[in-house]
Amino acid sequence: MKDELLNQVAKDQGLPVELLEDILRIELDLLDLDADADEAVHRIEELLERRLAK
Amino acid sequence: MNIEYQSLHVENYGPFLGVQEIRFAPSENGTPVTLVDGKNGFGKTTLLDAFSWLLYGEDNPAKREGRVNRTALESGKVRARVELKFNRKGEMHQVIRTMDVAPGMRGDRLKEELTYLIDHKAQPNPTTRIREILPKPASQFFFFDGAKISRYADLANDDAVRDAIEMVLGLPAYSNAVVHLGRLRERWEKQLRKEQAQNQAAQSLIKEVEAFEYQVSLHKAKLDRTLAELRAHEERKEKLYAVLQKHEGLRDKLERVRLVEAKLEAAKANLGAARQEQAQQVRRYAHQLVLPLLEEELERGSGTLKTLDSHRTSQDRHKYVTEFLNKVESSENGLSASLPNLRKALDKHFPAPKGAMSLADLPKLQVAVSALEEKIRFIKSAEPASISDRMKTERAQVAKLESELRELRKTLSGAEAEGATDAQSELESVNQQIGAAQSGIDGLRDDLRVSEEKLTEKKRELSHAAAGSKAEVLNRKIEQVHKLRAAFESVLEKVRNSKRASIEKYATELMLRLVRKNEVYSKLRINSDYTISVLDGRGLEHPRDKLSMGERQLVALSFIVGLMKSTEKTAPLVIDTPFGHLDIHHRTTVVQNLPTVGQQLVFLVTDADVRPEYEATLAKSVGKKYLIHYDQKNQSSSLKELKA
Repeated sequence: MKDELLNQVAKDQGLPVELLEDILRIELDLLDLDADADEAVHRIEELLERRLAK
Repeated sequence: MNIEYQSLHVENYGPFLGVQEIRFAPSENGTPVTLVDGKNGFGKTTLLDAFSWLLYGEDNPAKREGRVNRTALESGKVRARVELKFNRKGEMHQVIRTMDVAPGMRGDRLKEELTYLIDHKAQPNPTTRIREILPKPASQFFFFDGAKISRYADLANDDAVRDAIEMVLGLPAYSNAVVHLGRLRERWEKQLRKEQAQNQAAQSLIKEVEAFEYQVSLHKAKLDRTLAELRAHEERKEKLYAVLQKHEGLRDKLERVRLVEAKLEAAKANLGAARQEQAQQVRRYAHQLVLPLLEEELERGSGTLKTLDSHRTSQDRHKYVTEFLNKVESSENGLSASLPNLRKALDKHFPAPKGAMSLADLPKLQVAVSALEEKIRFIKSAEPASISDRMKTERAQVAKLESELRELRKTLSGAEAEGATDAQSELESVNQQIGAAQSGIDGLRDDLRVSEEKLTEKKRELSHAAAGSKAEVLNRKIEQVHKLRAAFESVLEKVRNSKRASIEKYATELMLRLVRKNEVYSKLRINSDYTISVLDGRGLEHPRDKLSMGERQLVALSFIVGLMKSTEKTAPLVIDTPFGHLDIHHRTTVVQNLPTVGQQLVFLVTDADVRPEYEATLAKSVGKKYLIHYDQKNQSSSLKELKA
């Protein structure tokens, strides 16, 4: 159900669903590692910079 | 989580000496309950604690020593060890925690060691593995004391409980994405500001943006303060509920005392009113006061009258006989010779009356007596007979209630009763403060929303005003991150709503099967902060204070099961004293229904928990049964498997 929702929302917002999935993966990984917020912000920033550079 | 427990080994842990093992009943094949029966102090709760120590360890070094079996320690160096084996996604997981202790070792010298194996292969970062599978905050829904869960039904969830629920539901990744994308946007906006600062046209807009940012921060701070106050009130409320729970046994008595006190108050008021009325009557009929004097006078007058009356008869008779004798004397008919004898007889049988009163006074006395009788009749008719009857009734009622109150108070410890009463009145005051804070929060949220909207508008204007390629790139990035954040917010909201609907569905289904008064309740509503409201047949919220402790426990249990059914991350439920505050009827419904929800269940019970009324029903669900045996000689416990 969550995957369906992610797809639907990505479509509604005109966003690539893969980007949402990548961000979600970062969050899930860091959640298990109990990492701090700065690490998450940094990783998402890197991801978006890479995307925009393409 | 998707966990199926296989076995638990405890070795030299707490009261358990040597290696002890529990093999858990599987969730399938209809007998999902593992029953562990132990008397108080034998180590039942230690088993619950063993799960917690195994998975999360003991942070406080000073408390580590207490986890080792003392008898084992007397014979030298000893290893305390707990091992849990479980299946997850077709893999065999083993979590092992050990602690080697020598006599005299304390505090920081006691080191714990954690090992995590999957299919017998050691895993790196075992703590991370455990956090992934069974995070500590979520454990409160998997290992708990049945008597303590009713707090989830008290509308008093704090942030920690809300976070734990969202963790079980798998929502933190989404909410964290919202937070982190927001921070990234702030970071990029700062960079954009720097770029824009070089643009003269944007200068005034930047000042306006900063002013709105300041306003937003003020509103946020105010809102945070009020939310903190609300949390503090809610925490206080939770503590007061705990105090009231402690005094739960007194509640009926206290209510009875309050009722009798109210009745006594009313009876005293009635008596007072009767007294007042009597006083008015006395004032109105002052001559009532002379009534006794009149009656005395009447008695005396009547007595005199009676005497005179009798004298009158004898006087008449004497007069008649005297006249007769005189006639006889004057008739000269030969009888005169007998006259002396006749006069003697007259004096003997009809003596002349004596006393001060003469017959002449008789009519006057008769008039006086009649007048007295008339006065007395008037006074008596004026006295309301009802007032004296009423006084009598009211006095009897007051005496009866005072006696009942004395008896009731004898059965109550003064300090306890006072504590419960104080907690109740403080709770009412805290509820008022919570209501005030909540209504204030709505207003503050509105203020914040308006400020944020204005800020967004100004930022947009600023973006348009800004020029330069760097600023344009940053603007695109900000736009992108803004959309991503909105996307995650939307997903989070939708997932939250669907999870809450799912919990509501399953929790309601179970609750209606568990509670006796299922015709009164229609639904469990899961509020946006995951607090629970019980709705009645009209869909209105049932007053919380009308739910008994047992009903609250069932509501909380239904909520936990609803939560388990609404997530992919399930784990077995290990429940210490599962029947807590429940009466026989509710224990029976729990025994009938809980094993059917598809969860592996571990019940840690005392012999008093398993009653004949539902023992046979429970036995049908029990796949494994253990007895904790306590050996007085070495002061240690062991586990013995019984036939289920």
